[in-house]
Amino acid sequence: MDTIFIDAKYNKEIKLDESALKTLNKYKKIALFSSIQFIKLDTVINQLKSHKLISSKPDRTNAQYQLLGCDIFHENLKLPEEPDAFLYIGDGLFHPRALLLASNKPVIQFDPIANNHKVLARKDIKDILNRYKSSLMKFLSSRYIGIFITVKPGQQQFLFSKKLEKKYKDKDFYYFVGNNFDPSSIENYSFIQSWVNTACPRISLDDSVNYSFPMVNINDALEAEEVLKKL
Amino acid sequence: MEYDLELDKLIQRIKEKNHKRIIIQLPDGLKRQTQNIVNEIKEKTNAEVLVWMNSCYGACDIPLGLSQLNIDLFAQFGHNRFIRKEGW
Repeated sequence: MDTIFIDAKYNKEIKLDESALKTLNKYKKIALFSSIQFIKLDTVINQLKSHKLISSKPDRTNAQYQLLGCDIFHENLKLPEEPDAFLYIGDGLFHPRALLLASNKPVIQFDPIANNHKVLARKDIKDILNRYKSSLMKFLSSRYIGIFITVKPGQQQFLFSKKLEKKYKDKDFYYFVGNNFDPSSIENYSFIQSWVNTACPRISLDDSVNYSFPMVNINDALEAEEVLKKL
Repeated sequence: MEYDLELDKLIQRIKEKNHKRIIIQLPDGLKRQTQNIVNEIKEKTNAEVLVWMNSCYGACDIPLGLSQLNIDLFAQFGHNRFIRKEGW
């Protein structure tokens, strides 16, 4: 089967308004990111000439400045140096929240369609982080662990998840395979005390409000004690 | 329309490869363009156009089982190719 990806790029000039520039003036070093649809950033880069602009190309992306929703781990961002703040260009909160999950630094989200900006901080995701902290503690104390594996080619991480068995020899791991994450089907397996997610990492974070069982991401499960200390 | 849907590129690909049946997948923000996209492809090619109705969270979220419908071309809008890596 032939496959084609169409970026569907925003076709108007992206230009920061005065209010956004005023907010950004509080910070010297700014790391700039956007989704692929808003990646025509020439004007924005020019507007930020007086700042030290930090750019990178995270691991799974195809373009400089591009950010994916799964870039929630600081090392994934591949930042050449630590910024004072992040500037995210795009609509919606899904991507800027990834930056909040990856860093303690403030995130300024500029929406080119609405032509306004928001300043987001770690406190805005406090509830998500608190739930996640509780899930990590539950993972460490649980014996019966369910590992959710998706068959979606881009998210399938079965072999990677096997590392858990080597690390935690006192736990019993059960592997559950599905097309999509469905909280109602997971709740049928009541003998499982804690779940590990190997699909989209946002399922265990943003979506945790939609279910009551503890679930952590595979990367964090592998280093649960170290991650807990940082939260 | 605020986004460049690059339908010319898609239509050219369909014609070049003589695709007979295609499926499009759109993120929620672009789903309202479905009718325009389907109509334009149908007007300019001989391809049958199907629409994936479920999620489209990213290039990691490609529908499974399309081979059962003998799809020639899968087109995902709103994302670009995803570079896979072990772990997150």
